[in-house]
Amino acid sequence: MVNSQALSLHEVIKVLMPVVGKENVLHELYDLIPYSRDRYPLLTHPKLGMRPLAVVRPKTTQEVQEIVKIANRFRIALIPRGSGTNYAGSAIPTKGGIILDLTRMNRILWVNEESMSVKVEAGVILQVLEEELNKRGFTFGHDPGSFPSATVGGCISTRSLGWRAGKYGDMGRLVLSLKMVMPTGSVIETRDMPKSSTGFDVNSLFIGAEGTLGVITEATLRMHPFPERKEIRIYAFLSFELAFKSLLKVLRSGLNPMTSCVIDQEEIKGFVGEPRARAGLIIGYEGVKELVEAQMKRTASILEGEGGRKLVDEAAENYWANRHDMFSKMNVEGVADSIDTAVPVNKVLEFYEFLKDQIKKGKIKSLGISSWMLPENLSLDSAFDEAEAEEYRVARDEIVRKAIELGGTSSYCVGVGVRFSHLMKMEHGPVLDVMKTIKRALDPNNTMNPGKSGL
Amino acid sequence: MKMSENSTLKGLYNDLSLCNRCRCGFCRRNCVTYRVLGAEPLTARGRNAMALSWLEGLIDGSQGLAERFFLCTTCGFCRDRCPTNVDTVNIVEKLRAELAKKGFTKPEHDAFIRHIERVHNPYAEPHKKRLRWLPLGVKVVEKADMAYFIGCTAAYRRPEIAKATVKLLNVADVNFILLHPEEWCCGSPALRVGRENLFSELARHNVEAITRASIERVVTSCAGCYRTLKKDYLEFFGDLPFEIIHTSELIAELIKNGSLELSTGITKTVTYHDPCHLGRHMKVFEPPREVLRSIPALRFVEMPRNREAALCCGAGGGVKAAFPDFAHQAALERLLEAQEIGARMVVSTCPFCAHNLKNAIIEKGLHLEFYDLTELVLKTIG
Repeated sequence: MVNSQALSLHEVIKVLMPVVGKENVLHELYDLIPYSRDRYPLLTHPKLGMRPLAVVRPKTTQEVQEIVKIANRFRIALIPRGSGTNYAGSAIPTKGGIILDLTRMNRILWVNEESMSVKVEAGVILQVLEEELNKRGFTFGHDPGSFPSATVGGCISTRSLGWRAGKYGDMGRLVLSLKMVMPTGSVIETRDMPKSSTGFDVNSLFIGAEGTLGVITEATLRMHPFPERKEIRIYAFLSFELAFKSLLKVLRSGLNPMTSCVIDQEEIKGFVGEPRARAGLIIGYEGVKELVEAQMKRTASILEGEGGRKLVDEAAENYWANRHDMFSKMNVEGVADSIDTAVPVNKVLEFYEFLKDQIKKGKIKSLGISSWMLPENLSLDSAFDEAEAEEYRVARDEIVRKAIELGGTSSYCVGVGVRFSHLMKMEHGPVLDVMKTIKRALDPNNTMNPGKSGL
Repeated sequence: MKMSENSTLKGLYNDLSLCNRCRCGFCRRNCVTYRVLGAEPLTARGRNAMALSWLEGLIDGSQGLAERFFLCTTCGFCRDRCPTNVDTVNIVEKLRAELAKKGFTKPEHDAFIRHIERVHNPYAEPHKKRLRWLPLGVKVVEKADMAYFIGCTAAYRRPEIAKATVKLLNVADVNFILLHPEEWCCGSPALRVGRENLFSELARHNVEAITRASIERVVTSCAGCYRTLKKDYLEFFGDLPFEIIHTSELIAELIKNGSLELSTGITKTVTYHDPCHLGRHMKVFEPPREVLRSIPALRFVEMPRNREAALCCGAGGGVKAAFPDFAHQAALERLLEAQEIGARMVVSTCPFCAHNLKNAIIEKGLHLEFYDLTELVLKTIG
């Protein structure tokens, strides 16, 4: 049982300071406020955040190990945190406790060009890693909306998805090995073999675990050759259905776009500036020049055959350049949220109609519906007035329940956090019991990020 | 004085609310205090959470809170990178002013404020010695359309910049006056650390002095003075009867119209450091680069973080006075970036950046030379 208030603040500070130094233990209210929230949209105001008892900022795996042992010994909740860009509430200190700020662990430890792998500490920011690899002629390839600020550890812990996932996969697919501090204080490291047939795939256990099974301190990751050529296009369509079916046709022809995103009228109007179009498809390839050209030529032929109209190159360039900022800009309209649901591909259009219906009934405001990276991923971007947060929460949950009923998932890239903990049983049934059994076995005192992931 | 809605912290409530809704943290990437010291409370996002809490009465003033806000160079990277254009520089300066009113200040700032009040410069130097750098034989006229606004740092700490500037003006046959004894501190140090009353007094004095001398064009070699005169004075007075120009802009102009001929080659690999107050704050990016590119034999290379994305040297916003160790660390990070791209010389256009970067080069024994643009251009003339 976690009892984070059992130790007084004074006692917590007293045990943490010798581990990381006085300057790396924060406990004043003004310092705790910025750590009391991540990007979870229902906690927008500092007064709504949940205060941790303290924030501790380690520099090494050994320091993390000492902190984890302290948390375990004194039964204090420990919440790992990267840049706090998650909007499921994974890094919110719902049970008080200690925030473990991993952003000082920001070294790129080595780059191996031969094996095309790179080893980093958990607090490395994606953009920093990408720029470093680009200098050497490589790319990492993980490009979520939070790319300018998200950390490697945070992306692994939420199994995030990025704009180039069609080619490079989600964050989980890029992980070769992990160094973990386990909840009771031992340190383990998996081997960085790209393929092994021996035993459980332990990496997978920690990928997407939101820090509930321990702390990721280092990761060995795949990297890829920097693409010779990149080409992004936007095609306008007469309807979302037509754009979506055209994308399926591209995929079924054996093409594998680096990026793909079907967008509805709201989004093409808002982010492409095409008021006449009813829907759009952003599609792109990168890699060897001749391959990119051939793939794009074939794609163009399919899309134009389905009635797609290619927009000027500048529209695609602008959209691509703006891709990381889009979600932030939505906050001008209110509190922005992205309901990142996924449903089986044969249910996508049914779910799309359901979303349209909810919008039409005025239950939720739409800033755009899109099918992003995988055709199954159908998300609704929304914004709500802070004063109507409860109404928004109810409408959001109704949508997510529908996705689960259709055989889908409540989140394809953000994680569970506090947002959908209550829907985990509905989504996973007895599989959640397996997760809980694993959690109990590895974290008997439930100190690691308690209250998250429905555990 | 023209009062805008943004002249109080409360007037910036919409910006604070927007940042607290969004919280993307894109401001962290090149934030100099975050890069050097880490920690969420030292980022724009963290400071905006604290500022909103202050406005809402969730937190009280304290010396610790003041540290979080005074440990910001106000470099403006956060503002330029913000997808929603939240003006955190303004927020930081307004909160500093509120903290200062409640007595939460840094003693180092209190000291230079007292000096400015007493001798019109933050370095406690005698006002009558403001021109002691002026070389013999330099032609300074009694009456001209142009005034050279020296600024305190060039006058007392980096006289080589002031010397080079007046010599260049002579070479180009540009007549100018010096405002001394009527040139006082521009007020930038006061405004950056929240002492708005002193700033307004200095601004009023300087504008009156410039106007009395019937000056049409004020040239300054200081990025901080440039921003203050051109932006803050304009906001304060609403309109100014004279034009403000930076030496880098003037030199580029003089090269173009043939008044300056750069004949001696500089066979060095040179990079340019954008001072925040000239670059990000005022968008003067190209003139200094144009000048460097017109120097014969000079190989110009850009640091990866340049123009809008340039890394701050770590000195501004009162940071060098109150947190010298941090300013030194930040300068080293910038200089290492210059070394990494093979530069042997760093050129900039701000005496305050010069002061910080040069000190770091000397203290660390780096194999780098540092010149202000005016000094380098002077070397290429005859």
